[in-house]
Amino acid sequence: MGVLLMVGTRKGLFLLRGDENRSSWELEGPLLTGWSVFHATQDPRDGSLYVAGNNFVYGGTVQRSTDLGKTWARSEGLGLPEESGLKLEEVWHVEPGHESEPDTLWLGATPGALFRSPDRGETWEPMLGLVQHETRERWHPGAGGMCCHSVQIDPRNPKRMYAAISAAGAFRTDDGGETWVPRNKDVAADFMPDPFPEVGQCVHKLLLHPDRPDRLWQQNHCGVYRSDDAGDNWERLEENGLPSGFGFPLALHPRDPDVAFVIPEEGAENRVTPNGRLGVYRTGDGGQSWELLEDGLPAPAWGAVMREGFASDSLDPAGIYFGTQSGSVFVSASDGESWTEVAEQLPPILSVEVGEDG
Amino acid sequence: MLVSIDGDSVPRSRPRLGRAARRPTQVAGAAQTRQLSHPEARGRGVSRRMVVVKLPSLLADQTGGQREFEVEAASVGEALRGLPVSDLLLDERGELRRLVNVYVDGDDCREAAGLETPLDDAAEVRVIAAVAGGSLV
Repeated sequence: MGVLLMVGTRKGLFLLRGDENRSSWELEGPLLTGWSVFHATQDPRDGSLYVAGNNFVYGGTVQRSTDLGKTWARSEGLGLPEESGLKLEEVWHVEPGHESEPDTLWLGATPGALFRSPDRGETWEPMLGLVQHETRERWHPGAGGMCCHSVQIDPRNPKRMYAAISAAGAFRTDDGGETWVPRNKDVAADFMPDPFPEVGQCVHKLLLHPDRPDRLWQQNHCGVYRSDDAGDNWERLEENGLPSGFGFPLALHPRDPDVAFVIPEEGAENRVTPNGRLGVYRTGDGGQSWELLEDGLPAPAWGAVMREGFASDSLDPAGIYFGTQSGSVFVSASDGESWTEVAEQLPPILSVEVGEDG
Repeated sequence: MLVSIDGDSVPRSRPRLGRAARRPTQVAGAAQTRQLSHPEARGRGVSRRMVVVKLPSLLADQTGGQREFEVEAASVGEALRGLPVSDLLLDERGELRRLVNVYVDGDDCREAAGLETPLDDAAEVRVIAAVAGGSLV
C-alpha cells in the first residue's frame, strides 16, 4: 500500500503518490482548480478524501471524493443559522470522527464555527454550544480570521473532544460538542491587557497524542506548550531551545508521545523561518529540549509553513512531511533526521496530510 | 445533500439536478418540477418566464460541465434558486453573495430590484464574478 500525500494549495489540490519507502513520488494535479484548498485529508475509516475549499466569490465548501480524487461531490446546506447573527465565511479543517461513529465528521470554519456531519458530509449542523459560547464577546479574529482550525477527539471516548480557535483559545467538551469549557490556563496572550485571560488566546495548532490522549501540544502565537492533564494546565516550552515561540505548524510522532516537531518563524512581525534557513525543530523529551533538524533543508532560505502544512504518517520509521508557501514539499522518511524535496514550484501550500493510496 | 460534480448525485428531497445536468434537454423539465412544488409557485398569480441562465466556467465544473440552464422563473432569485449551484451564488440567508454579479439582458440586477428583479420571456440571466477581490487569491 503506497503513501498518498494530499497537498492543498491556493490554486487547487495536488496529490503526491509515494512508495512505502517514501523515496519515489508521482505528482498529480491540480484538481479542484479555482478553489483554495485550506485543508485536504483522508478519512482513515473508509479512504474517502475531504477538501475544505474556499473561493473568494462563491464561498466555502466541503467536497468529498470516494475514488481518490477522480470525481468529487459538494456538500450543500452549509451555513450558520439566523439566530446566531453570523454567516459562514471560510472552511478551515475537516476532522474524521471517532472510529465508533463511522459516518461522523467535524468541520472547523470562520467565524469561530464548528459543524458536525452525521452522514459523511451530506448534511452539517452547527455546534451552537461553541458558536454561541458565553465567552464569545471576548473572542477576536486572528490575522486569517476567527478560524476554528484544530479539532481533536479522544480515541478512548468520542464524547471528549478539543477545539481550538484563533483567537479565542482552546476548548474541551465532554458531551460530544454540546457544551464546551475554555482550557487556556497559563497560556499567554501578550496582545491582551491581561496577558493570561480565560479566553482570547491565539492558538495556531493543537494536537493530542492518540497513545496518551491526555497529552496535548499547541503551537500558539505566544509560545509552544504541552499539557499532560487534558488541557487543565499548560507548560511553556520554547525557552528550552527554540529560536522563537512564534510559528504555525505542529506535528507529532505516530508512536512516541514525547516527540513533537515545530517549524518556528522569527516572530509575529516577521513571519519567515529564523536565521535565514528552513529549519524543523524536534523534541524527544516532551519539550524539555529541542534540536534543529536541517539535513537536506535549504539554506539560505526564508520560508513559511502554514498551520495545516505539516503531517506525519504511521509507518516505521515515521515519515514527516511539510509544504511551504513557496510551493515546495519536503519529506523525511527517518523521523526527521534527513529531508528531501519531492515537489517544487507548486502554488503556495496551505495544507499537507498523509494517507493511504489505493 | 451532496451535489455530485460528475452527475452521480445522492438525492434527498430535491430533484436530481446533478444527474439532469448531463442531459441538457431534461433540465427545463427538472426545473419545472421544482417550480411546481416550490411554495412560490402555488397560487400567487406570478407569471413565470422561460429564461436562460449562463454560468461562469468555475461553476460549470460543479455542474458536470453545463454552463447554460433553461429555467422557468418569475424573478432573478427564483431562477438562481433553481440551479444545482444555488448554494454557491446565494448565502445561507438566501442573499446574493457579495462578489457575484447577475445581469439580466445586460443590466445589473442590483441596480434594479436585486433578487426580486422580474424576468421577461427569453431573458438572458448572466452570472459573472466581480472583478474585485482577486488579491485575496
